Amino acid sequence: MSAEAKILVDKQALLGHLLQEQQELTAVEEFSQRHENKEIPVQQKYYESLIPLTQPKEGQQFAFKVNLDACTGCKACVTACHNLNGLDEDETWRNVGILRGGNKEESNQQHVTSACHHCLDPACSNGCPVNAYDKDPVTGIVKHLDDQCIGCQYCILKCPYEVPKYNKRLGIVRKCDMCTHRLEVGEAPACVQSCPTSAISIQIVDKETVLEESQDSAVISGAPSSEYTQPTTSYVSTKPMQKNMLSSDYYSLEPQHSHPPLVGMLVLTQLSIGAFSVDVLINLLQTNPLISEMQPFHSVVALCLGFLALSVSVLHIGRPQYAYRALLGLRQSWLSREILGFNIFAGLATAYATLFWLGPIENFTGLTLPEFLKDPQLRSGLGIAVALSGILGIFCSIMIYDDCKKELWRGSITGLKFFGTAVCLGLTTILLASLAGVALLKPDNAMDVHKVYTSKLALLMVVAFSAKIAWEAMIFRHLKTPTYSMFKRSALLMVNHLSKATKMRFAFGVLGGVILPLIIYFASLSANATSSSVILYMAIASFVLALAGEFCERFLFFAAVVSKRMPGGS
Amino acid sequence: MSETSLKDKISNMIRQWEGPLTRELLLQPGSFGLGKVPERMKPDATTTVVCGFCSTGCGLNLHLKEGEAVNLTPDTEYPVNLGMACPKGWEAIAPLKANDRATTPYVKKNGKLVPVSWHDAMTTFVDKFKGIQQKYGNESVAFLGTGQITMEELAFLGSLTKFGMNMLHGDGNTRQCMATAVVSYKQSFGFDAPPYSYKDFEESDTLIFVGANPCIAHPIMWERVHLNKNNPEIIVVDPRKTETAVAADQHYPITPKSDLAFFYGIANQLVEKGCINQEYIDKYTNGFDGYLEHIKKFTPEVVEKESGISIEQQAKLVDTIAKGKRVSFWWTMGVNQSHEGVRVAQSMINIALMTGNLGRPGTGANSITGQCNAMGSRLFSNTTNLLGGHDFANPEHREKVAKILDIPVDVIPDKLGWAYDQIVEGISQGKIKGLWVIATNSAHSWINQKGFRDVIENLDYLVVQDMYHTTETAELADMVLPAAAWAEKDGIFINSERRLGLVKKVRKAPGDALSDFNIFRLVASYWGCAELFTKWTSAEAVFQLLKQCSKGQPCDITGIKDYRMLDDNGGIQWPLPEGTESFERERRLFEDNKFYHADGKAKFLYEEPAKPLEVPCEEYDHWLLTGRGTSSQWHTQTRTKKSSVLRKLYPNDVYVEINASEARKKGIEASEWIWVISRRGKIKARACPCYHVKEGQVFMPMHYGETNMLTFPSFDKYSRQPSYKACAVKIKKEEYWE
Repeated sequence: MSAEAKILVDKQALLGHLLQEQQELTAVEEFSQRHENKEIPVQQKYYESLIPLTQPKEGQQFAFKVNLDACTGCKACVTACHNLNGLDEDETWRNVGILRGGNKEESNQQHVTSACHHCLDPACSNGCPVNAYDKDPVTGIVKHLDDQCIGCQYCILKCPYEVPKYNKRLGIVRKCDMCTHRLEVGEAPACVQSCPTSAISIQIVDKETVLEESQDSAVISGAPSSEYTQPTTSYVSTKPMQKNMLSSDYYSLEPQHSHPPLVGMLVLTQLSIGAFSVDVLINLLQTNPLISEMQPFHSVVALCLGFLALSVSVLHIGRPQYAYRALLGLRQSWLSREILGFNIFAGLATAYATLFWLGPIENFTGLTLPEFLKDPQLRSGLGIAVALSGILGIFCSIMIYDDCKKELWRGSITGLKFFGTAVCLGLTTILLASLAGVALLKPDNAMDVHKVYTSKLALLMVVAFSAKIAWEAMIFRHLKTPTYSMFKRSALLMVNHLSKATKMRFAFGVLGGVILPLIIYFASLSANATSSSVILYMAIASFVLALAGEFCERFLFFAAVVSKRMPGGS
Repeated sequence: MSETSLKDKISNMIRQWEGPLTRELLLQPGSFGLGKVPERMKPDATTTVVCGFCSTGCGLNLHLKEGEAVNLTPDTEYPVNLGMACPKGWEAIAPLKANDRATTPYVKKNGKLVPVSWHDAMTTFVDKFKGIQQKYGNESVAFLGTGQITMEELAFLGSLTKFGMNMLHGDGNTRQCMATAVVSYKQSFGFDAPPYSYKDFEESDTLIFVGANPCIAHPIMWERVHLNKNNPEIIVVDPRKTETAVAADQHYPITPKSDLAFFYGIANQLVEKGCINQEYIDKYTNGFDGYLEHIKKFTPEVVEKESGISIEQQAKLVDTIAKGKRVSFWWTMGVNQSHEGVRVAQSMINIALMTGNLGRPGTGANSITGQCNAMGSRLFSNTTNLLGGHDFANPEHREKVAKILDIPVDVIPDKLGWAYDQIVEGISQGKIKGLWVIATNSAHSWINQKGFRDVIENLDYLVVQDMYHTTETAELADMVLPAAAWAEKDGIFINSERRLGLVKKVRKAPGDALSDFNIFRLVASYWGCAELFTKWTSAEAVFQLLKQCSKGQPCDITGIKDYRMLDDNGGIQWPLPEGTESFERERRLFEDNKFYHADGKAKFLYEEPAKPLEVPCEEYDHWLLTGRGTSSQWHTQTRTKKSSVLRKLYPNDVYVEINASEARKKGIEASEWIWVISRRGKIKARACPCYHVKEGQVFMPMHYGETNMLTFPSFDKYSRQPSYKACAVKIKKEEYWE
């Protein structure tokens, strides 16, 4: 019996044979190797005419050019870019969207492929706190220095075209570099190589022309205004486009990334700065011995929450070990400035808080500290410095978002929210800290605290929260307007996709910031020994609710932001 | 050495231009004519493999490291795709790496699929199916195949089941896509012979796409259209303004299912204008006179009433066809998936014949196929014909095949088995009790899906053989057999232009998964019919057998020596008879005007148009059109949903395109969930208002399971292909309490 025949009879032997054979790869031995030693790409004949033969001259740069007539939306460019650049499994640097429009008589549809626009004035680079972007002086290509990046993702917020993409595995951002290293050796970028209809090409553009043309215009219907970054991509077509060409996802709103660490960081820094400021202010306005006795406790509470805020912010950074580089961008990046501001605030606040604890420190260490440290003048001066540095820090926070040029994040709106949170939560924190401090340290003085602090702070809370919440709620008036403004879209997101967070925001805010403080106010007017513990519990509840409310507000700040974007949808 | 100086270290701490993260994306010259490639995927060899998605049959250059494919680029020199691929091709490796690959056989126990050994699975397989056959007769076990596995595997499946396992009924999912083209060619030309090569896209001066949307369904064919230097007139006939219609010069949005009357009318006007080639008709065709009589009543007025295309517009199309020197017709599923698709396809064949637009460059009545190996399935699956386009009923044919295969002639059945829909009907009537489903996903793709899922309950035993154990059909199975996928095995696919292309084993199948070929060998051995298949030891050995079967047939491939010859030539189109000295890489049929009917002539075939069995009425007042969604989706998404890149390129939720002014009237807003209801099902889809569909019509892509909950099961009477493209539905806003 032949070996073959034996196998046929013996089923188990056949099975073993087949399983083994399945794992043997033989294509290399069996088939010819074409172009074995060929370094010159054979694909060149198809893309030669799609890339420039020369380098850009002074005042020029490389740019993508897309022939819209030829693009039919096959999306090969997206996958080719992914494969030829060896990107991670779900990472893509190019996108294809659709514009649709027209009317009954003449309907139209246009696919739009886009990647980085290698802007004249790249927002990603301008916002980067660590100088991880480099606009090549010759080619104009905006390159990202992967090893320099700390993964703060500010560029993602800054770029109106959603170009930089965060890579979780590496903790950094990556983006299209127009296949710089291919262009260097006369090869075409992956997208150019792969377009079946040669719709994408690289051209040399005149920077002056790009600048001129970016005035009050957009690269394509519906895209963000080109004035902000002066993108260089040009979309050309022989067919006129209808007026109403809308991105196919124009009406499908999607909540944006909520950046939880930023939510935590912003709200808690504002709370901490608010608390310091309120405390310093009270100290300045009132001369009550009880106040000075309570201050050590207040300052420690505010400081702890401040540090908590800063440590939360680190969670947002992909590579925190390089966070020190964040000072490199001081010249251009509000993020660098914010980081500096908050560090100064933290330093001053620590010093300030320490000044209250000189006695215990001397007792504990047995040292005698210099007298000038105990000077109340120094303390109050430092207190003012803490408050001012904190306020400057918040200002930088506001500018971070204002600088993203999104309508919903402009300075006036962000400013009212951020400073509003500082005031509201500052009052709430000091109210609670004063009650808790006295209950823990000096239970006998509880009645005085009610008199000095509680009623006034509670009343101020009612005013501050009512104002902030009412102002925030004003966005809903846009729901009634016929224009599909960014405000209307944001309000729609809030009442639809994000309705839970919206309800929570207003319920928590009103309950913790208005109703409970009102009760506390009335209770504290006629407080007695038994009611004071009830007031303390109410203050705790008020603090927790108000804080949760502000977290929701900040979550919505990120999640319900809407801005113009490149055509999307598939 | 590369020791970093202290200065560099400090400078790096401050601003680091290079380092491990930058190196992640480093590019290196890839050799093999590739240009730069990612350093970590730099190949040590490359080889061309034909793509396993659609019938375009692109050559993909797989980058190998130690024999295993790690990346790919489209093959620049392959005569089909000329260095390009669509996103599915580019992402072809990703679905192989999915973590729900079937890695071992599974058997259902207590409602759950549990892993078992191959030995146990095979023993159960044989016990169950033989048991059913003993109880209900040999014909009570049937199979449903595919156009997704290789030609050799299809031949093995069809031969194993019909010659070895005594089955009679077996069909493939090609019934859902190509049957109409097959029958129309067979009737008109005498053989299932798509006459064109892709070069014809480049050489035509008038291209008429009917129910075809190559821009997204066959982007590489559209590439070839783009390469046309004749500044051609591009015409689209389709109820919907598809991507291709937008890119075309003329678009005729005919009323759904008015295509037959429309083309009869166009033919009638061509005759009236004297724009026909009488010499060609006389010399090379039969049946023109009857046809002439038949089309007379399709006057412009009648056609306007039927199709909604004005008399002036009709005249424009007629003029364009008359003026064209090289007119080509291209159709896809819009024609094939119809209740009278065969006659519609023939209405185009007829126009090509009477205007002499056949057998010359840039002409033809050309069916664009669906699946990667639809043509291999058509010729060699042993279902609709005996291996190699032979006739089961013809004793000489049976004798010829038996001799080549070295098997007793009496194991070959002398009649055809049932078509797909008849098998489903057979299950419902209890005539079929055991079913073996190979590489298809019927529980998603069969028309009126709920009907199919209900019917399946009647089976005693259902075996599904697939690369994933998670397909909608596998989840219903009593047994799942783990199959190796494309690029994990060798074999041949035949593409739309009749090109045989090679698939090679360049990836290891996961776990104990076996190629379909090897599974069939195993089944033959356990079933006890292995002695019939002693010659079937490898895919290439089977290819040699099939070559012999094709001898003397129109699809004669005896001139192809071996796999190596196919590889060296960038695939080879059939026919290539033995002794062919040299041949062009791109060839069309009928250049000699000889057709395959006994008298060498082509036939005019025609019939009275019939109304579809379901049309919109007062209650179900809309046409539901279906079709391809995006170029990144393939059929039931079994594979395309496994690539995270492809997933980004299509909408996550099922959607329905609805006319924008109609949506406005109904208060339906973009992307809101609305109800789409037919007599068979009620589903929710996201509204997509636009003007691409006319009022009274809606469109849904076929890739989402919901769509076939709605479709109406009617079939072309000749081809038995399901009519997926049109049924009646109503749409309703979702009420707030729902």
